[in-house]
Amino acid sequence: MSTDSGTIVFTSQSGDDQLSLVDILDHVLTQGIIIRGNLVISLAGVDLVYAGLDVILTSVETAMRHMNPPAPPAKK
Amino acid sequence: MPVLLYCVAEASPSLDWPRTGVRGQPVSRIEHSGVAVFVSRDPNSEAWTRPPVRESVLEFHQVLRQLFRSVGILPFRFPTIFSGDRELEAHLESAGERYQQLLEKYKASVQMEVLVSAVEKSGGPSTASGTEYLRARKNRRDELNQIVTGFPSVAGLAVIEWKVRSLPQGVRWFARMERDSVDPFLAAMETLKIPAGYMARVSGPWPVTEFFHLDQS
Repeated sequence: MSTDSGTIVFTSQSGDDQLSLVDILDHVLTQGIIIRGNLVISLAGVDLVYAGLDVILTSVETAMRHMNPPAPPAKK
Repeated sequence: MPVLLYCVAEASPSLDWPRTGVRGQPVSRIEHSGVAVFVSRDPNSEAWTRPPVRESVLEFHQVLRQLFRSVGILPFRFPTIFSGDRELEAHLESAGERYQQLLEKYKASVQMEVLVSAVEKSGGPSTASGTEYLRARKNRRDELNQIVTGFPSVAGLAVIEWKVRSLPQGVRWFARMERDSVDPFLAAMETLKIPAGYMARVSGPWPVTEFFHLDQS
């Protein structure tokens, strides 16, 4: 949708498009109740768990960067 | 047996939720300390977070989504896993009352979000110096904040409260409102004036995760 020459995009939670997928990953992995302390029991494969999550978190950031790629200055 | 937590909701007999969740495990409802908690159990808890994690995340989201259609929820961040029911009960003994308070306050609320970002020009790398680049980045950040400043007046009375958060990819505006205010809010957002070179992405409704605060330490 065009406005003042800028753009407004309305995304749904239907999961039908890449934009909403990024939103879902962002919400599920970065928002919500966090329980700290010893109530959260470590899993046997904790290193693997966090390695897997790191991959996903990186993917979200990469996806968002892809949507708005930065333009670093060239070295002179 | 390990327990994966999805969310907390008000204890109500009419809740509708999917019977299967992450990795096809059954989703159970537990009532304790005046709240309903939705969980899955699996002796092999690593399965919940085994790659591809994206599939697990989407299955997790589907459980939240179906519940959130009809009631307010407090979602847990994925993955929140307890070693068994004893730990879960201990947690609810200590946090149940707080969950009840939050649900009472936010049960009718939803969260809408607008992410405003600069649309980068495609092409080769910029020839600007480092100083010029940093100055341009600051100017862009100021412009993003300026754009977001106008949102509350456009959204009008639909918004109960709002927050702004700066992110690497732009500025995100969070608005809390009643469920029945979503359509008027979306209609109002269609009238937004976004300057050239910028994009606003509206999403929601989401659970009000940006507005509730818990200290479980």
